[in-house]
Amino acid sequence: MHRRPVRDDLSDVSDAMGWADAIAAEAGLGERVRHDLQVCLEEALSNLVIHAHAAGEKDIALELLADGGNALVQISDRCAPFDVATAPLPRPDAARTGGAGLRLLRTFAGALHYAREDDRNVLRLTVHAPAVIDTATFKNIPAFAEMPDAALRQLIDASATHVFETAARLMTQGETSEFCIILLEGSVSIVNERQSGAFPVANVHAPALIGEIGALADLPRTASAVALTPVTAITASSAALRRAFDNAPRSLHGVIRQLGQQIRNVNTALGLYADGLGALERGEIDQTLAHDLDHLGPNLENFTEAFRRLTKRIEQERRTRAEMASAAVIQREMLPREMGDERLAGRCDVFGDMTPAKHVGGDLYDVFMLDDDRLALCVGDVCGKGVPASLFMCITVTTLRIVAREGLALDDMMAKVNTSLFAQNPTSIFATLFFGVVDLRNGRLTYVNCGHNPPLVLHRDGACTPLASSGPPLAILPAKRWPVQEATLAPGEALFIFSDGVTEALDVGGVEYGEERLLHVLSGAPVRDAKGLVAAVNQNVARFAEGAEQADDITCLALVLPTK
Amino acid sequence: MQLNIEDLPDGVTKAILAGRMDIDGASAVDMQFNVLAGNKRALVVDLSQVSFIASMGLRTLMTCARAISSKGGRMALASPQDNVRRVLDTSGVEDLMGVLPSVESAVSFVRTT
Repeated sequence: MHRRPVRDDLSDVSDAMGWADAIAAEAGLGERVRHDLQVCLEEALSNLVIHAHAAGEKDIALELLADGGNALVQISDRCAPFDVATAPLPRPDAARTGGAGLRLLRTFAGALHYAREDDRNVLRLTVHAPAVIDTATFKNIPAFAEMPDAALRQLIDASATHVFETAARLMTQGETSEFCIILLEGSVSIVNERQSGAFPVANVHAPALIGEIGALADLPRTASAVALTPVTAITASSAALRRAFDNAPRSLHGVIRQLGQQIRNVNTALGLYADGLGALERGEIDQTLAHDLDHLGPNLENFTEAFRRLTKRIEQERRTRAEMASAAVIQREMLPREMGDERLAGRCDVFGDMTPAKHVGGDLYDVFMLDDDRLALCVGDVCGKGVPASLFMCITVTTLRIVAREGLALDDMMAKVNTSLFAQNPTSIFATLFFGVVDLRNGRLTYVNCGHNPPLVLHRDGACTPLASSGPPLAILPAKRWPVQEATLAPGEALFIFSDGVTEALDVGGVEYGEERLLHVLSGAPVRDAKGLVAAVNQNVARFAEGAEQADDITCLALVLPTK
Repeated sequence: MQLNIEDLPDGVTKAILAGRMDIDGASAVDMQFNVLAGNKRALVVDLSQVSFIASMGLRTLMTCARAISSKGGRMALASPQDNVRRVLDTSGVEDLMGVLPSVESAVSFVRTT
């Protein structure tokens, strides 16, 4: 390995290039490798001198190793990070001259690797000895089948040899097609990159030509190419490819034939997809379709494979959806349906209901007797959606039920619940919760409110009074305590506890349902049964939000005391 | 690096470059190209005696081509050697100027203005 510092001026870059060429010549590297090495060094080094910024010394170091006819180069510097291997290329046009050098570097370096190591940019590049290519191999590629040897040789000579590691990207969808790639060894996957993820459309094995239509027709790439194995390839610029076909126009027949075959494949595949998607929709892949998939012939092997992957993905998604649905069922089962406790008979009327949003949600409510006379009621809302929120909701309900039975004072109880939830909370989920206890002998209500929206007390004259809220939600702060508050429910009065899914329900125009509408329904409702109150609110919200997607769980819990 | 300038009929100018158009080469002819860019509307650069060109040399040629085309003129590069042609193919200069196999074809390319 030879090493040399490079000063921050162009004349030293020039000297460094001479130094490198002398080493290359000494090591017996071929004329072409020496030339391409000079091109790469000039771009990489002059770029650092002219464009790169550094807080202090640029401290550029050049290392060179000649090995097996190849030149291995490492350039490192203390400049601001810049990844020449993947920085976007500007299109050369009348407005700017930039980008030409980067194109040169990426083409003439057969392998290019950038890393930021400590405070240094490290660029490693290899200039490969040209691949020894037998033109006979190319005759198996339809586009080249009819190309005369001389034109083929010229194209090969004008191309650069590249080596790609597994998973390296050979082409990127959407980029302008400035070159085509002729695979000499290895396999690549052609992937269509969609919003929903990368979808493999074909696997291509050497020897093969890819990206030629884009390069000939100056079209953006319609797909990306990713190496499935280590790949050796030559890349020919669109200019060189066009020149080859200009010199041998008859060989374009081969390109057109290949394109025609591809169009036929696509048409057949479209039919296959239509059949297949229909079958998937019905949840059945029947015998005939399975047979068709297995007997499509070599041209459609790629589509068969892609279709199988698609099928697998859809089935996986369906399974996930089924799991989500069972999670929603389990969650629903956690919540009480009917309050059949005989200790309630004649002393109060209580009813709760939760309408989950599209997927499993995070609302919870619970009603249970603490002893013969005291009824516990709670409504909560776990922040977040999906499985984590619903799991946390289940944990919250269970913890509340267990701790509530320990006979602690309300504030001690809630502090204990909070500590327990805080400890079981790796993803920092939190929950708002109203927890109240009604003494059925005298209507006395004691409660704590952990950041939940204030429940409403419905008086006999139709007026409503909110119960003042207090404190942060559960599971955010360790060792937090909430003050216990009190209120009294008179005979014939009701308590209505709800989640913000009620007041924040949106109509199709994006308008919130709001507290006013809720108050209006509650005060207008012919009290006094709990189920009727909940139904009145649910119906009113549903009518308001008709046509809009429900964004949040809607939970209502009503308690009505009998008129004495 | 040498640059000889020859006026051809019909207002076409031929610039014959010879040597290595590397960092030193490009800086040696940079000023002359600036003058050509300011004065000429039809310019052919004969590259047959240029053995090397890379990003610095391309920059000189592209700056000149841009100036000429902004005046409605045309510039073309003629008869590049194989290595030089590979560089031109890759760099995308063809969006800015013609690249032609002979001086004759380059002359007729710039004359059709």
